[in-house]
Amino acid sequence: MENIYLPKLAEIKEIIQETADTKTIRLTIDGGSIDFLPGQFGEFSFIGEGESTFGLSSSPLRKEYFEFSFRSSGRATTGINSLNQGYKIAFRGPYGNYFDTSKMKGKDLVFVGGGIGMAPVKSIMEYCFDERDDYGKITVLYGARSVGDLLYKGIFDEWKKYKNTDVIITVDPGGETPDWTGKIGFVPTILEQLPLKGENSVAIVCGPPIMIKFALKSLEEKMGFDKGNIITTLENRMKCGLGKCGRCNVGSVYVCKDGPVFTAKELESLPNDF
Amino acid sequence: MEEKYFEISAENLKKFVERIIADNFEVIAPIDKDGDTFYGKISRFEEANLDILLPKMSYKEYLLPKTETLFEYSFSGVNADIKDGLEAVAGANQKRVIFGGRPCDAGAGPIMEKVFNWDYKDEFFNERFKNLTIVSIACEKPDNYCFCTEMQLSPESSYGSDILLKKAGTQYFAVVTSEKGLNLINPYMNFFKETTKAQVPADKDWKKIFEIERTKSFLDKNFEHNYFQDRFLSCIGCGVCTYTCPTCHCFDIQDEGNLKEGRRIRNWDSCQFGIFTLHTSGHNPRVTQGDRYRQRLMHKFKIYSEKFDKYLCVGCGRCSRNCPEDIDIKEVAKDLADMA
Amino acid sequence: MANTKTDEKLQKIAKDLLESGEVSLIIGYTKGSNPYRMRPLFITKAEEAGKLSFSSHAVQDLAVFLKKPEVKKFGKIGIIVKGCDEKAVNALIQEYQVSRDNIKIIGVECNGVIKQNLADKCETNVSESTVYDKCLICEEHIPVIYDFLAESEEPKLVLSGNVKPYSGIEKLESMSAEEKNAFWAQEFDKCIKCYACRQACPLCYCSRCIVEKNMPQWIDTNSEETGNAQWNLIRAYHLSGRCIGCGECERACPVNIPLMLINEKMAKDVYNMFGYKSGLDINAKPVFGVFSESDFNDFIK
Repeated sequence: MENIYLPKLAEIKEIIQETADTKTIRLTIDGGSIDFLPGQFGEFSFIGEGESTFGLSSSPLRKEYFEFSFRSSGRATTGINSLNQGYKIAFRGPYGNYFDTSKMKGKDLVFVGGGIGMAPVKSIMEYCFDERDDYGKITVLYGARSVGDLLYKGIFDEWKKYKNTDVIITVDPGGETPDWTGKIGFVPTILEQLPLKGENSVAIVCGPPIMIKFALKSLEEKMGFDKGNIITTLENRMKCGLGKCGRCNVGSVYVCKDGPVFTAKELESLPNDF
Repeated sequence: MEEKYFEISAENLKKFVERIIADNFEVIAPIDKDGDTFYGKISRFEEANLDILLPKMSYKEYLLPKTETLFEYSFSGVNADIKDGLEAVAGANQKRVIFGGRPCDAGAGPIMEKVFNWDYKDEFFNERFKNLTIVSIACEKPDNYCFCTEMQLSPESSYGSDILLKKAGTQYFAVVTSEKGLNLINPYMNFFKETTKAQVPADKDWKKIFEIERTKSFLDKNFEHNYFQDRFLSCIGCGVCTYTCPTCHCFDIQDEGNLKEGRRIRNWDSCQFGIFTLHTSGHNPRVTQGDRYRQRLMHKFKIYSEKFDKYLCVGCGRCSRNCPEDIDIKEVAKDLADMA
Repeated sequence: MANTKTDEKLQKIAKDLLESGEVSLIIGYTKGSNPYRMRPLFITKAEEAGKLSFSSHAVQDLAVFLKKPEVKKFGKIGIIVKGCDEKAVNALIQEYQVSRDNIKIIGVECNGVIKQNLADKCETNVSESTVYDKCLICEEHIPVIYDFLAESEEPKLVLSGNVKPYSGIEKLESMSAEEKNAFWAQEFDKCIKCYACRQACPLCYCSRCIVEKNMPQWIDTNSEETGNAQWNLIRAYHLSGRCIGCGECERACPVNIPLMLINEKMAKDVYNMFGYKSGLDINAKPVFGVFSESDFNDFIK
């Protein structure tokens, strides 16, 4: 008999302090990464303090480790936040559906991320970087409230090195520092200024609900993206991640099993339950 | 297994129950307690109240305990030692019999089983469910809160029972539906006399007062509807409907312990609580009690049925009888059907 | 069933209040799912007033709805209350949860309500053996405060003294600490942590209950010995000096824990020690909200 609630112990290889209250933690199980697909999530815990749900944020093709980014806010995340390199994190997963790369091959890609919502975008984006020749032009737009709120600052330059790739980083007005050289403006505003066309393109958008709302509108109405080619992820409170505990459903759809990845077209058919 | 049929006199039924108790079966039956009737362990046949329609609580706790240890942990340095909670569940319910429950309660088992197995297999549930033997008694007089017939069962349904007893005068007919049921009575066959299906009184023609498909059809079309907000203004969000329900199975996972040792548990939880869906950010997809009661209706009469081709409700009516504010789910389901 | 004179008066009061716009919502009772049950009714239009009714089956304490955000939104509210329920309104006013200016208290004279488990067996007779214990000790058959009053046509409750209300308290008081522990361990073992006691309580209005807080985790989440005892004890303490004795927690409890033994004992002790009864005076400060030099302090050693 297998206990589906039993976690595996993953060792903390590296901790990156991303912002004042967010970290990225790199983990290994049996010395390496685990098998997963971009967009999938897991249940993470410092045992004794409870589990939290986070998307996996590394490329599944990078086998040395797997990682997740989190903000320390409640009991479970405060517990995880207290751990140092070498300690163990209990992990269950990977769970949920994933970004279907077969539908992205050969197309131009637009990755749009806001705040900590960049984490799941990073996974699929780096996956595409790792097989760069399979895709057309790649445009990355990442924004946060302020410079201090940007995650992944240490690897922006790495993203920019890939061929035929534009990386645009922006902060909300007022969030810039004197030496800021990136854009200033809300993500949907900057998005509209980019020379993007819906034709033969796929957009992946993750971030706060208000950003998603306006970014989706711009992509659909101004740039002519087909709703089926705009992909985002949903978040809902979860406990089991296995389709049993009964709290993450949006209408008949279980975010943990049927999601977390949905197209704008699929979202349209869901009731206002998220 | 093909159904088998037996006759047993009321006197022999008593002897049979006393014998299995003597043979160390834990027999759980409706017993009078604290001014009501609850399921509880009996040590003598007479302690069972077989006249009561339904005990106040269902016997869900024998399949899904109100608190269950998923695993225990202890730390030594950075290493955690984890002891699988399934070890303690192995063999659970092997010597436990639910006796004198009703067809609705029996129907709840297989309905929950689908949730616990549709993808990942929950062996905590499975081990208990596999081993628990259920001997139900068909209802002769359902009350006004009952609507099992509307929920695709009936007062005489054997669905989910290992043995269904049907009273006929001073004797009973036993419909044995499973190996588990047969194994229970096999050592005591002297009390039973095998008979044929033709001898068992036919089921009555139970009438429905609404069609559940119409309720679903209303829910399919009306996520936003004033009915939910208006009708459930009187809901106080106490969760009694969900906790006394034989099919409500939603749970919470929590850790209890310290830096040295502790355990991860799952507890019963309820969609009627505001915190059930509250995000860390403070956003809550279900703000009002109307939203939350709608979720319960949706889950019972729409969401579950779309996945599993049955409904997440056996029509026992407990949520109505036990609701402190007299919200009657049968009345609600009929209202929705009428509006469809 | 035909309207009683009480029903007619309630309907008239409600109709006038809604028509004049003095309130935008009336909370009252109407006939329930069977002839022996009443249920809460919310009306916003004068023409719906005819649905209002009252009887000895009107067990619910409607003051519980005053804590609901969905109800608060209505602003000015008229509420039909029995004497016990009205004390809950007073306590809410005392604790600044409800403004006296926003509420029209429609008192109804009550001679006792029939225990629900008996009503469900078709009991209609109001007598000392059929009503709740709270009715046997009731001193507010007519509410302490009201803006309108609907008198009862029913005969007064006759007390022979043969039924002793809350007799369990005396029994508990005579027990040793071990015996008390054993008694409550057995009772709390039944608890399923559904929190119906909290939800049914008009005075449990915290927007985030202590069991929903986990930094730190004050109350064990389990529904076993520790978690159940912690929960029931913390609730008892939070209600001490506040509980007005409506008994809704005990009525809502699906596993029949005698919660009123705790609450009444606490109320009794508070009265003996501080001479205070909750919910009688809207101008009084809550007993545990004030310090007086004359408070006893012999527990400080």
